[in-house]
Amino acid sequence: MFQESLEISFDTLKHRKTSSILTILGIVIGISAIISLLSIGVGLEESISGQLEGMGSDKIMIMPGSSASFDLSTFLGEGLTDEDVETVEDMSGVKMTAGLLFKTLPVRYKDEVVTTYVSGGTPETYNKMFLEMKIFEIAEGRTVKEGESGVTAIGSRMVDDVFEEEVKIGDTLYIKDKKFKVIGNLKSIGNSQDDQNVYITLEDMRELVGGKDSLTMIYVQVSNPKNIDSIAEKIEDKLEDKYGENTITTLTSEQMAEMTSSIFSILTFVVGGIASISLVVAGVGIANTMFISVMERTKEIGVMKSIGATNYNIMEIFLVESALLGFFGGVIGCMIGYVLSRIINVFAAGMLPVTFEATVTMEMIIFCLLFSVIVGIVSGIWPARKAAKLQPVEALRYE
Amino acid sequence: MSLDSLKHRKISSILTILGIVIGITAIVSLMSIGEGLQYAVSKQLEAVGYDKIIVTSGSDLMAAFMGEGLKEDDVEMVKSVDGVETAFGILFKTIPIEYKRENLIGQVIGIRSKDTEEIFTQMKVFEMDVGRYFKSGERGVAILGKKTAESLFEKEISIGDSLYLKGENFRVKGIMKSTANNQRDKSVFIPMEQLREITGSKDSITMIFAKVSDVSKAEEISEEIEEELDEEYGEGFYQATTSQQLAENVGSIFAVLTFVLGGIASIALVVAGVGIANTMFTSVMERTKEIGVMKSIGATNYNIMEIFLIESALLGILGGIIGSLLGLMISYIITMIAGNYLPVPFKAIVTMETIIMSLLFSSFVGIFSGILPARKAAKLQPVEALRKD
Repeated sequence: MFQESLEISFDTLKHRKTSSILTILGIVIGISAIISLLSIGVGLEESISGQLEGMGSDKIMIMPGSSASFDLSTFLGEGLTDEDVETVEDMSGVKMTAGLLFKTLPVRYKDEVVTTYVSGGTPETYNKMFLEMKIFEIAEGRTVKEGESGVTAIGSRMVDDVFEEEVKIGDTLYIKDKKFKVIGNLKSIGNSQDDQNVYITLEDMRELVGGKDSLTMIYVQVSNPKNIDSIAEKIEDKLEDKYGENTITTLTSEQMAEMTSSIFSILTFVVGGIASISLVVAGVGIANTMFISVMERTKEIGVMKSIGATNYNIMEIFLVESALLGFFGGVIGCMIGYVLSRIINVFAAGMLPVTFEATVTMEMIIFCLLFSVIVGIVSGIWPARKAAKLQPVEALRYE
Repeated sequence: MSLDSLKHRKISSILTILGIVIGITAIVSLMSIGEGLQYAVSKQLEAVGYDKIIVTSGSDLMAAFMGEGLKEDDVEMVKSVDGVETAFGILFKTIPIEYKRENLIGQVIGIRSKDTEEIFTQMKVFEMDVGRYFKSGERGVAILGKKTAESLFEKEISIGDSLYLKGENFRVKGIMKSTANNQRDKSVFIPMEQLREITGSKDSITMIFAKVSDVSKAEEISEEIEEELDEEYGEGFYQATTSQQLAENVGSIFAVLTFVLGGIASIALVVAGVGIANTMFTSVMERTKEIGVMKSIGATNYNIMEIFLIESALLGILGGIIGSLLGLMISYIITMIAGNYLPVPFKAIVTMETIIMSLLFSSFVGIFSGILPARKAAKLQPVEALRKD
């Protein structure tokens, strides 16, 4: 019987071609919008979690501020000190630590000035960060040596993106009035903020901005990634013993990845939700087409009923028809959405600072196909019930 | 029978209009959120007053709040620029604050003790609620933002209570009125000299506020300040922005947001337009005979086309009107709910422009969707049309 319903539905769809095409077109537009928007969301999420993975799963970041009330201003604060680095370094399970003082300062190269992120760290810190912990890696040149002053290693975007002219090793940058010779540059890690960093010595940094022994952030590497959560907790407890409750936040690489992915999930969800409104409208269109279809075929329904078709049979015929409308729309919409996401990639590659690829996942496609079939069926229920409830005698009399 | 057909037509019309209604409702309510955010921000900046100029180092907002590139000398320089009535520098720091054994890391703002009264009474960027200003050279004193006093710590803070910043004792001398700025309401103000001692920063300043005597010259004066700073430090290091420019900058960010969300919601309207086209094609088909009769008694192609275009435009406009009304209702509901959840005062705003645009958009969609079916109707051959049953 289902097979027959399917055949009948195909016939009707072909017969009422303009109407079917337009109805399907509604679903197509909705689904392709959803697919392409979701692909952007997933692409952004993946590009960021990829960056975080690059850091490795054994890192903890320590920052001042309460994790309970995520507040940007406190995270940019300078609540940590050199002493804290040592405290953490001495804890069991901690392999290595590196403290940084972080500021945004104007940096001048030739006649161009750009305000960017300047980090101050000891040569030891940089050795650890660049060579041992491999948070960032050296591409060319070297890092700062003990006792050196007025030298800098720069992020990859500082080399060829931030200033109009390329900055080469041996060139001079000015931060405030102080000269800095470029001695090395770093590999891109895909994060525009980190790639735009200028690394100088902590002493030079403190000379530029003051600040006795304060630090913005401490990187920690643990010896065993399995214990990372308990070590992070212990560090937080220990530092909060000193500073008081809710003053310190520790973030493991995994927590960071979770945090960013949850932000993007919300964003993707909201944007996808708004785009789904168009699918609801398309559903209303299906209902409309189905009502007309029922009306046109009133006599046919009367005949079928009088030769023994049950209410259930009739309902099935119309539900299959509306489900088919949804399904076709879904399939075509997925294909167009995929093509759109490719096109977005072509444009985004040239315009965005981060490595980004709009990604259409299998889940998305399955979800969209299901969604479109469900929209088709739900929209068909009312017209199908109406068809099923027609009295055969009345229906036959209809013209 | 014709009654029955009319009833069918009714369901069909209602469903077609419903599509437009859903689309317009979504657009109006999303736009109302965007407009509301834009308004909330511009209101905040208005409270600062359009006669203010803000000098910061760096171009983006984040950099401005982290940077400390300015010096005391720069404040004097700004003061000396023609048309500047008064100017003062503030230093932002985020450091640990302790009150009754409760600790947190909060924003501390340094202002020069001898300028305090002037800052509060003349600039009116902040206003005092209770208590007094710092006296010149006074140490160990603090003025709190409204939220710092009321809700930042578990226990409420009153005048005369002691806070500890990095271990040093500060006695609360005053509490400010609530500003429209959440961040500032959660700050602690202390004498700049002492904040520098605690944090070890020499004579740096995060930003300079200046007040001009003639609002109409604010932009001119800000350009002059920037030029002076450029001469001293080199091109592009510093930026002087009038509060009006700031309001425009922030406003344009929200405008983009509103535009993007509205754009995504507009897809629904396109789908609704396809629905109108569908209904119109059916309508043309059902009335083929009628069209034949009309044509045979002298109706021109133009007449026929007009009939169908008016029908489709009506579908669009009706949908637009109902959608705008529903959107208006939803924006009220959003305002009611947001009031309970958001930290800043927020009101979703439906502007006249939004409504006019929605109505225009929906009737445009209606007409546009009707063009193909109407042309089809207009081009029918009367003889063929009459023969159809």
